[in-house]
Amino acid sequence: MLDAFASAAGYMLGNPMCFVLIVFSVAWGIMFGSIPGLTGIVGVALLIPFTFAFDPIEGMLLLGGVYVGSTFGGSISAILFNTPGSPEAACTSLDGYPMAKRGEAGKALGIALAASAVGGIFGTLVLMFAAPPLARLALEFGPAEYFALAVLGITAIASIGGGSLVKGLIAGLLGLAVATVGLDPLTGIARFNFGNPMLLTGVSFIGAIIGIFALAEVIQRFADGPTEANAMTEVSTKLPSLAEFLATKATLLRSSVIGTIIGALPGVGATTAAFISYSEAFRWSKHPELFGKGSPEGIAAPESGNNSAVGGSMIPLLALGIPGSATTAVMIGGLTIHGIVPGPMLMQNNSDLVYSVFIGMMLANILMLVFGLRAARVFALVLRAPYPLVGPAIVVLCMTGVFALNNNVFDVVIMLTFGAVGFFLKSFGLPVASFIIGLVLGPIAEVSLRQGLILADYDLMTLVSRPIAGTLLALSALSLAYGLWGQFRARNATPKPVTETDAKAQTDPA
Amino acid sequence: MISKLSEIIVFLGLTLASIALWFNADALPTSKRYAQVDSDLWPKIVFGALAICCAIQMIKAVSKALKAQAETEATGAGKAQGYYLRLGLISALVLGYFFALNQIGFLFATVIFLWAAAWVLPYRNLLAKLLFAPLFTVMLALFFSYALSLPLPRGEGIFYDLSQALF
Repeated sequence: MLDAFASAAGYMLGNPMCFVLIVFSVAWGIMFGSIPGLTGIVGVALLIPFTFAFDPIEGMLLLGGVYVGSTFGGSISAILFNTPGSPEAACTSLDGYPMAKRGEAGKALGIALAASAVGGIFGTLVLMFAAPPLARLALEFGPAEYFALAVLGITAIASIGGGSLVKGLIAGLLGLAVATVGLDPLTGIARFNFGNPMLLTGVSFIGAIIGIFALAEVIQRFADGPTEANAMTEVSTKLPSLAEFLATKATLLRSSVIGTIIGALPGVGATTAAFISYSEAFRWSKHPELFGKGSPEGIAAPESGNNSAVGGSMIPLLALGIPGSATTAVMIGGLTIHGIVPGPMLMQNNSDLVYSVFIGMMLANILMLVFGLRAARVFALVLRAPYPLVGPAIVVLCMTGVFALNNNVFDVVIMLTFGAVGFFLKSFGLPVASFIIGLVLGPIAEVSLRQGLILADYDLMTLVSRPIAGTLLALSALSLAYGLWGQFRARNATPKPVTETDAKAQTDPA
Repeated sequence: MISKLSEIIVFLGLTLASIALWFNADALPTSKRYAQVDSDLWPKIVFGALAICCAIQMIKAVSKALKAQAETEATGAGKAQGYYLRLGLISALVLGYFFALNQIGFLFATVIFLWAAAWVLPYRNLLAKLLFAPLFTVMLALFFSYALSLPLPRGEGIFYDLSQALF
C-alpha cells in the first residue's frame, strides 16, 4: 500500500498539471454548488468531455475535485439566502440562514466550511484505509437494512418541530405523501399524478427544495415588508474560534461516521447522509431547542455528513464498480471513456490511478478550506446589498437554474408550487425540516419495506430480526425514546408562566 | 380569531384531502403478483396517519378557538401593515414572470420583473434600481449561454428569433 502511495505521489509531483487541475476543479465545483439548480452532477457531467484531453489519472482528479467542491459550495447560498445550491445543502439552510439573519453569516459559513473539511478528510481517510471491508459491509445491506436506515431518519420528524409533536408529524407525513407521487417503483402503476404525464417521474426534488426554501423566503420577506427583523444591519465575517468549533466535535465525529457509511451504500447519497446526520445531531444535542434558530450543531452536522459521504460514495465505485451516488454514476462515464472498468480489480491493476484519486481528494479538501475561507468572506458581503434588488434576483436565479437543469418548464412549475407549499408550512407553524426529511427518505422507506417483505415471505418479524436491520431499528427506538424523554424533561424543567409578566420575562431575558 | 379560523379550515381541508387520497389509493389497480405489498400499501399508511394527525390538530385548533372566543382579538394581529397587499403583489409578479418567460423569453421578462419587483419594497436609490435589472440580466444570460452552454427560455415568435440572434 505504501509503495502504491509513493508511486502515485511521485506521478503527481512529476505532473504539475495534476495540481492545476485540482485547484481548477475545486473552484469550479464550489461555483456549481453555490448556484441554485446547478448541482455537482451538472458540474461533473460538463467536464467529462474535457477529460479526453488528459490522462485517466488527471481526468479523475478533475472530476473528484468538482465533486468535493460542489458538495461544500451548496452551503454558501443556503446560508446566505436560504437557497440551497444543491440538494445536499438543503439541511444546512435550516440553521445556517437563521444564523446569517442574526448577523453571523461569516460564522455560519466558517462552521460549514470547517465541518465540510473535517467530514471530507474523514471520508477520504476511510476511503484510503478501509475501502474493501466497508464495501463488503455495504453489500450486506439489503432492503431490510435500507428500510431500518430510513426509519432511523424518519423517527426524527416528530421531535424536530420543536413546539408541537403533532405538527412535526403532519409536516413529515406531508413529505412522505408527496414522495408517493409518480410511478410505483415495484408495479409500475401511476399514483397520484391525476392524469399529468409530467408527474410520472415523481416530483423534481431540486425544484421542490428550491421552491420551499428560496421562493417561500423571498415571498415571506417581501410580504413582511421593511421590518426590523428582516434588516440584516450587521454582517459579520468573523469566523468561529477554535473553542467554538471544538464545541461541536461530538457532532462532527458522529456525522462524519454516519455520512461515510451512508455514502458507501449504493443508491443513497450525500442528501440522505446530511438529513440523517441532522436528525441524529438534533436527537443527541444538549440544546435541541436551538435547532432551527441558528444552532452551530445544526450547521456542522449536515455539512460534515454530506462531505464525508463524498469519500464514502467513492468506496463502492472504486472497490466494487457500483456507484454510491448520482455523481459517482456520472463519474463512471469518465472512467469508461478511458477504457477503465471500475471494480475489484481496479485497485490491483490501476493502483496509481486509485491512490492518485485518494491523494487528490485529500488535497481538494484542504484546498476547499483555502478557497472557502476567501469565498466565505466575500460572499457574506453580498448580504449588505439591498433586499429589494437581491430578493427578485434570487427568484430569477432559481427559475433559471431549475429550468436549465433539464430544459423543462414543468420543473419551474414544481418550484412555484413548492414555493407556495413552503409559505403554507411556515404560516401554519409546520416544520420544513420534517417535511424535507419525509420527502427524502419516503421513497427509500417504501421500496425497501415492500421489497423486504417480499424477500421475508411477508413476515415482518423476519424482516426486522436481521442483525443490521434489527440493530438499526433498536437504535431508532432508543434514540426516539431518548429524544422524547429529553423533550419531556426540558418542558418540565421550564417553570410554566403564571402571569403575563412571567411569560414575557421568560421569552425576553433582557 | 381569523388566524384560528383559518387554522381550523386548513386542517379540516387536509383531513378531508387525506381521506380522499386514502380512497384514491384504495382504488389503484391491483397486481396479483404483489397482492400483499401492492401500490396502495404505503400511501394508505401515510394518508391514514396524516388524516388522524390533521384531525387531532383540527380538534386542538377548535378547542383553542373556543377558549379564545371570550377574548377580543384584533383582526390580522401580528401582520405588518400592507402585508397582504405586498404578498399579493410579489406573488402576482412571480407568476407573471413565469408566464412572461415562456412568452417573451428570458431577457425581456427578467428585466421587466426585476424593475417591477424593486418597487414593491421601499428603496431610495433610483439609479441602482434602474441599472441593476439590465446589468444582472445580461451577466446571467452571458454566464448561462456562453460559460456554461446551458439553455435559457427563449419565448415565442419574434422573441424566439431575437433570442436566437443574441445567445
